[in-house]
Amino acid sequence: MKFSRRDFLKASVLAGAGAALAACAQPTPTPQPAAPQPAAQAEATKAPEPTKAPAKAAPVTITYLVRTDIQPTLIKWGEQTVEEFQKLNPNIKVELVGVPWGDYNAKLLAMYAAGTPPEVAANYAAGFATFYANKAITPLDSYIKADNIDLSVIEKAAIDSVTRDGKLWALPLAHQPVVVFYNKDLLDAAGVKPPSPDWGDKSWTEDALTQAAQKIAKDLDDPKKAQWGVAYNEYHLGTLIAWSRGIDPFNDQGGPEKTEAYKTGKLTAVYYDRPEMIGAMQWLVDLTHKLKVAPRPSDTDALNQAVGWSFLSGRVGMTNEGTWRLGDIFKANPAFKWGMAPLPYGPAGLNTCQLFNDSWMLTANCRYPNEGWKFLKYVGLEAGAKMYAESTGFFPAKKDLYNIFFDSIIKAPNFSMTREDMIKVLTGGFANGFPAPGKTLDRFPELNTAWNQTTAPMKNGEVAVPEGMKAVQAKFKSLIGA
Amino acid sequence: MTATTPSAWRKPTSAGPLIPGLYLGKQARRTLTKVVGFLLLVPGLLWVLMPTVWMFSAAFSTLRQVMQFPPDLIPNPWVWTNFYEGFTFLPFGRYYMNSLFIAISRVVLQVLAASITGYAFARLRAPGREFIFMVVLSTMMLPYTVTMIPQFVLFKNLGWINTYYPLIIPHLGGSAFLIFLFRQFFRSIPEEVFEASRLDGCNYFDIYLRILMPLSMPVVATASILVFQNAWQDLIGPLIYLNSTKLYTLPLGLATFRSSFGASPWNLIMAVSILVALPPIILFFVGQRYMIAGIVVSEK
Amino acid sequence: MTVVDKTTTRVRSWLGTGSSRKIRLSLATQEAIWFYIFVAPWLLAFFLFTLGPMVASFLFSFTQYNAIQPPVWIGLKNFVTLSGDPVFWKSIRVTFTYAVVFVPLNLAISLFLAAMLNLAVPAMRVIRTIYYLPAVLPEVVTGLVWIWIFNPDFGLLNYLLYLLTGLKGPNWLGSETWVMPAVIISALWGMGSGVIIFLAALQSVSPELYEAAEIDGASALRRYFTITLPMISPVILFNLLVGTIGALQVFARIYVMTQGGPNYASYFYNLYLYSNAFSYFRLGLASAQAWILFVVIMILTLIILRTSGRWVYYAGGR
Repeated sequence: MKFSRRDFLKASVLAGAGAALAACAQPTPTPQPAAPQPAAQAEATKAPEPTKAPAKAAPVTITYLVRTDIQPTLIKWGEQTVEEFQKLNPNIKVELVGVPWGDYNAKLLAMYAAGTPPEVAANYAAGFATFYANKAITPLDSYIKADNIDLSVIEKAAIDSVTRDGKLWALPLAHQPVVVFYNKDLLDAAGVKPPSPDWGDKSWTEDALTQAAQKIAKDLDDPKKAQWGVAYNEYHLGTLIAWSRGIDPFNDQGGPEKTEAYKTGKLTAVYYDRPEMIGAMQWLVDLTHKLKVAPRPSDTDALNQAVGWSFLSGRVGMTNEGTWRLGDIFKANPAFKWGMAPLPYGPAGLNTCQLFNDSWMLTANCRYPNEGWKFLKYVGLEAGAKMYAESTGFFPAKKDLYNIFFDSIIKAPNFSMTREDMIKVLTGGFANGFPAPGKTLDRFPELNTAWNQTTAPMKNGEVAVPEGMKAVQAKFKSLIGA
Repeated sequence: MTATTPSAWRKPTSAGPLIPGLYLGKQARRTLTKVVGFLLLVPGLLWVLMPTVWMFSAAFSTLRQVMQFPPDLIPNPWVWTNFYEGFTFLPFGRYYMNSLFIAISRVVLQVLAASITGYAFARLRAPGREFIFMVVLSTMMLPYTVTMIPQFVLFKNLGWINTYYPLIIPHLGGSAFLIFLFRQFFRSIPEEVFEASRLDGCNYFDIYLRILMPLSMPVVATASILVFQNAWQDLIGPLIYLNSTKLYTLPLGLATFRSSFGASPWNLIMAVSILVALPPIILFFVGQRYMIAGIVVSEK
Repeated sequence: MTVVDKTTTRVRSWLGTGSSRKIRLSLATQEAIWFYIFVAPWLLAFFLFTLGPMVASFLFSFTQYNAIQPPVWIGLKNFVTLSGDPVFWKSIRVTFTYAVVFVPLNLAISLFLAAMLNLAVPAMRVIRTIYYLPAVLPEVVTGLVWIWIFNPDFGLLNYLLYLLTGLKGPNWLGSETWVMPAVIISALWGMGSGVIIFLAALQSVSPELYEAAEIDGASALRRYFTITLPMISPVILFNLLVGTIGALQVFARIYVMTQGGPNYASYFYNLYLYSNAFSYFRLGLASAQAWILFVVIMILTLIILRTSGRWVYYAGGR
């Protein structure tokens, strides 16, 4: 039995206001996705906006949802894009709506429920897969075909991660690898040589990182002076530290390439209690509790709250983070010299990179899909993408924009690398990289909460790792119903 | 007199000292009570002030100093420009006016509506009164998270998205919290106060307006302070219903401001937060005159 | 204006208060009509803006609904899913533990504070304002401050504990045992509204009662328990009920401070509900959760109201 949204509305309206409200209620337009709409009809079903009387050409107003809270540059980019786009397309007005991240989904879902989703919206942490699984997106293939667009201009891994059932569901704007950031001043003071920028340098191992961290860490008992060797992140569901060991938590055959769930979005098996996985977690926990070279979760929380990112406090020698942090460095203007390096090799002789794309989508059931596509194309493939690469500090997915991005990053304050070395680090991860599970698994937000909650006792040193990983395994098994 | 005293007080209790064995004069006892009370308040004062002090110090510090870990409490050097810089980064002046408009409208609407409704529930008998009262209370019991979306759909169909209507109009009946508050206060006013006026030919509205309201300044002041504070801090309402930045309110501006930076500029955020917190603080400081030194019910 | 005047006159005469008294309704009927006139604005707003969304969310609780696609009727399946969900039960335990400790504690401390803040002491207006401060500070700010205060190594709380006892304090927010006390401590900090409501209530106690008692020689404490408490008991009931409802719906502070961790030790009911609705796109399930909470709160409210007759004293009777 199915209810339409309108039935529900009717029920609530009847229950509520009765005739009074029904009289005021406007019909909810339910246009076919991707079906071209004549402008006149579109105008007739347009949501009432008393303040904006249609001009004589009756421009169509589309809505564009962005989050306001990553960088000031991002919202400025949004405004600039909209302004330029409107100049080129006087018949399309773009309403830019900025929402702070905490309530991004709440607003987005409310707009969907009202039958007025923003035509174009970005999907960040919730990931494209979650939106795909909830049938929230309009596929782009017919538009791509009609406009004769060559998708090879975008990094293939990025395109692959937003492709499902042979269809393209979003345009990746950013495509960012995880790399190691290091504080060169701390490394120098400890007599540690910065790692080579070459992803093929097999001497840069997790052991080498541990030893370097041991040299850097000091004064850990004095909170005023404490200086940590490394703050290492396991990344989405613990996969980053699994991949360097040649395994993946979601298959028992090999690395991420063997996990079917990354292609289908549906998780059917988990293997968190494998010895390699326990070993990976043990290494991570030992950094904090046995070797005492990494900050404890309470320290990380306090540092992150204070400075946005613990590395910026200048008291962390090395940390692995996505390149989206580059924008933070510009903003914080650190007083120390810093650089970037590849991820270290794990025991299995692998340094598989984790890749994060931020993609922009055309929503399902939106009012003006054609105009929406026009804008999305402008943002993702045309001048908008160029402005993005120039001004936001995010790694663009479009290959011909790399140089613009590199030009902007090399100017970062106190950056200690040559342009050539920087490019090696930034692009070296793509070849053997793999998309972050957050971007490919359907229920990622839920899985991520489960991971964070169940691993906390281990990270706080309250539970031994083998025991803790058993609990993680049990939790995930019950979550996926296996 | 007797009709208005609580049952527990009907049996006169024997005279007793504040502390057994310590007999003091009336004046001395009063003073002692005050001194003891004051001393008890001091540790609490420190407890309450602790985060506030840090907030103030951060507002006068450089960003680099705020990022000290653990925090340093005395700014060095003192930076006064944080207030100006923070306030001009976004159009906070406009947000201020927007927030004031919403908060003041809501205070007027809600306090009026809730007081009259509370009065009805407290003093007027009618069939269905208790049932309706439970319905009033029931509106507090369902988390907003699940009514938010249907309500959004409703207001969208009224064409009220990106206007202040959804933030003000639904409150025209008062809110359950306030109605309940007024009801409790009005129920504790002795019946004699009303009897005389009813004999004078006052109708129920006259009683509300001429007798009850003047007697109820403490609760009216309290209710106004609470509504103002509530409206002033509302983030989710404006966030859901407003699209244009020119309509934004202070909390929405602050939320955008906070996270506009990867590395949060806590010094600016604190400075702006202090400016944002000022109106409710001033309202409280002034309002307590009516709240505390209110006209006390006097029965003859 | 004239229309209003005319209507007023007509209504007045009708209700027996005006000059012409052709139709005379019984006093009880008049009272009932006035009641409904006074309650009308609320009823109107309720029917227009509140009831519809409530009913819709009730219907959603029997559906699979993500706000994007039309809801699909699935009967009681959401409720069955919840009953077999360990996180759901955990969130109930967490929330009730919190409410059982926090509500009485908060009530007692608010009452005490209000009594103290009511004393006529120099600079009291400033002191009161300081106590009110936490209520108006933005949550973002206080969230950060608490993370620092509860830091195990240099946090203020453990520093004080060390000064007082010489022992090393716990890892508050990182320990499944200590996170709940930490949440309660931080909640007690921001109790401004309860205190100011009590403060207002204290004003409505007739000073004549106190004077009479003082003449009888009753000590300050005795006067407090025999006069003040009974006289403000209607407001105690208010704070008890509103406090209980609030405690069962705690959300924002937890979201900033602990995100429900570690290991679900502070995973409050509304945190799970919010996650289900807006992170996991399960509005149907969230609605079911909300209505379960609704029923629980309703039952608790009825119990509290029913038993309140024994300890709440209304000077006005009815």
